[in-house]
Amino acid sequence: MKKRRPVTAGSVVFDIIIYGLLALIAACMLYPFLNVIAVSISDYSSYLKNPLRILPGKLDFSAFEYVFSSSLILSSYRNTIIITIGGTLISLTLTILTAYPLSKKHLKGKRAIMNLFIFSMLFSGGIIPSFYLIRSLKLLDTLWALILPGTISAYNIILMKNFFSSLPESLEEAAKIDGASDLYILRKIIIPLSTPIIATIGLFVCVGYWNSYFSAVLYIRDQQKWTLQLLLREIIMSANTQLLSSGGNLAEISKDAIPPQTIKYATLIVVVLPILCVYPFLQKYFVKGMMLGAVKG
Amino acid sequence: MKKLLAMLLISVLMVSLFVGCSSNTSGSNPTDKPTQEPAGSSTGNDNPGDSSSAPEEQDNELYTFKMFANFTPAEQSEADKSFFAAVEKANNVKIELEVPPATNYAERLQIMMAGGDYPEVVLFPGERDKILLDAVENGVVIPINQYLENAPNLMQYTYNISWDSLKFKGDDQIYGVPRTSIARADGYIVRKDWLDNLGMTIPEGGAVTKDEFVEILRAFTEDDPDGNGIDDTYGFAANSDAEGNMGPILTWPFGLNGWQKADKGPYEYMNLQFSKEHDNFKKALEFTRDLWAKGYIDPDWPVTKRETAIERFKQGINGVIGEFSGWVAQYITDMTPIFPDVELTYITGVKDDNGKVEGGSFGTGFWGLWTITSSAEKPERIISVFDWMLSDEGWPTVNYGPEGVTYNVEDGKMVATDLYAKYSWGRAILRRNNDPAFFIPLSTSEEMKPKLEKWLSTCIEQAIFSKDRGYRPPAADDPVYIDYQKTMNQAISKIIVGERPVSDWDQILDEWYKNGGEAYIQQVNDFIKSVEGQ
Repeated sequence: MKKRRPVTAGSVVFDIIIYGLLALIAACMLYPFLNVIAVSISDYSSYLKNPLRILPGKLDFSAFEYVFSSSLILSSYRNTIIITIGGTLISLTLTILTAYPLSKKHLKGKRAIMNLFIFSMLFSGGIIPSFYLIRSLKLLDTLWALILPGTISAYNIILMKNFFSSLPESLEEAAKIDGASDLYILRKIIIPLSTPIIATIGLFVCVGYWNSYFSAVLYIRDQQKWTLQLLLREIIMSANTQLLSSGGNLAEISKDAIPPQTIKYATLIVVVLPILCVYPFLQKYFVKGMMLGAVKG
Repeated sequence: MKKLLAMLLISVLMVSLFVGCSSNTSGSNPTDKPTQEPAGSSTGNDNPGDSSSAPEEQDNELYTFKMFANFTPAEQSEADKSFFAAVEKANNVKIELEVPPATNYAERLQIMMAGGDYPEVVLFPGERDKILLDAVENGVVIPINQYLENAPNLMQYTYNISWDSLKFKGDDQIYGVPRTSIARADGYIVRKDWLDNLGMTIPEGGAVTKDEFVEILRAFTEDDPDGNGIDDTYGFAANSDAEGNMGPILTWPFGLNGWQKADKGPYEYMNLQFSKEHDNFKKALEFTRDLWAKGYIDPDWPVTKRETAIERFKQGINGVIGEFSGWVAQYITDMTPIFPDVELTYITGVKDDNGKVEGGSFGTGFWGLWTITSSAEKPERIISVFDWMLSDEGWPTVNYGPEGVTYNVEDGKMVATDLYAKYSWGRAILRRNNDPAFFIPLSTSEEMKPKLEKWLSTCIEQAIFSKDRGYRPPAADDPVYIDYQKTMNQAISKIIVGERPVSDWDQILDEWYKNGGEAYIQQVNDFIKSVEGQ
């Protein structure tokens, strides 16, 4: 058993400093959240009185009422959930099915295929060619345009492949001797053993889909198919947008078009909260998965 | 079975590869595919005007066209839907709106133009827009002169100078319908309750001299105007521009009114900011620098955006803010819960050395323009819709929304309904240049109305246009010029905060001339002469 170090005055001071510093950093991280929550449930005049508040002023939930009464918020919420869940499932399936064969030593042409994937990490077609591609595939103005282009990431495939390679081959050999097929081995042995990497990549992809907005800018015309982040950006940035589009003509900056800070913050909470809830549950897999994926190259 | 599985896995692998290549990290595919469609699209430019010779009897047929526009807020309200329904009914048209996110309007415009699939009507945010000028050059945006002949209302209620600024090719061809805004030289909203506390008043006409203006800022900063016994107020709520640059807070009283006829110097027309023969700009810099040094301007100015400046005024930190007079009532509504006794008034302008108030109005009387593209089969029908909006029949609908939806007439007076507050898209399409009542909402109190009318009419009277008509000369796109422009803007900020002396301006200006400024001035002069000579 390890011996505890004796408690000295110096170590106590050191601990106090460390804890103090950590508390300060934690406060810096927490403060914006508290401020956003406090403002979103206060009335506008309370916000004006003290914009930096961490305790709510006069309680007023009208900002949330406004947010949830907007049909655009509801539709963009629905769209984001669809592309996040659908995209993550498709992406994980494709990534597993691609990485598994690539992790097999006996796959012919493995190196060439891997190089092709790595090539796609280095070069990109650019915005306009990608737009042409999506249009030619008749995906414009569909949610598929927001899901499909992001399903496969070469980086995720490499992580997944490395993880599969690190699993002991004897497990598969034993299964094969017992008559298991490749698909059965993948389903019953490999995938259950790979939950850390699947959770990690699932989180990567899920957060990526949840936060994506630029694909929607490019490929979506119908407002009812906007994503949540796009709408959020629209609400938060409206003041700057208005100022720029009016060319400094103050009369053309419509007061109705700039939502008060309370509404902006309420929207922020509505958008951030779901993904914030997912994060802590996946966090342990996240760290573990990163480590495991990096063991073997 | 094994073979089947192998085939399956290989096919998934191949699909993944293709998907991988087509994603954001895509490789070669995209460049091959598009050749078919853009080629087709470019041929759309061939015969834009042909349809104008369509037989007369077809003119009453239902005509459907797409409108690519920038409206805020993003969500179309019931009031706005009713407005478009009214426009469609009155003109027998069907308008298919495409409203991209306002925050990425420029990107969407660019993609739309590159994609070759042009809506019939496209809103461009500014007449200097590079995408617009390219579209005009490529024939995507068509001239509309021949259709304007049958648009008396558009012609009557649009500034001539606005039409001038849309003649992009230097000939008579006009390439869009200006989204007119009423030209004004705006003044300043001031805390009247603070003035009363200090025993100060604004002169009857609403305009003040530079000294009076400074005295108000001084008193608001030093004399505890809110009477709370704490030195926590400042005079002027200033904000930096989008790039974080500061500039003189007063320019017009120093004769800086954009491009005007020069009284001396080598050029016939001059923006006095760039004149080596005039020290107007230096005086304006000195004036602002002095106010800053004395602390009469909000100390957060360098890091304050417009939105924050407005908030700081409403929070009672500052007592004067440059603002459009039409928003006074809204300021009072927002501030009353915090300051129940708040009263606001308006300084219509600051007099120059001759006792006159004169201000260069923004741009050339409009904010953005509606263009018609080569996809339009019946441009004349689109112009007639715009013309209807400014007609005696259409104008009240544009201004107040459809009767029975956004307002009702009771005892001969228009009374706003609940939906009136949600009506905004229709008001952002076109407007008459001679109807300031546009800016006085139906919901304005009877007490406030005459004040607003007076302030508005004063601001309209004192507006003058810059003679450059928003022209962007080729010299302005020279990278050397663009680079130096940034250096110059930063230098202006440094002069104001006292990091550089005002006398440095001469050297900064010399450098500007060397870095493309001379060509810029010459090209703007050539342009003004060509337009003024007509």
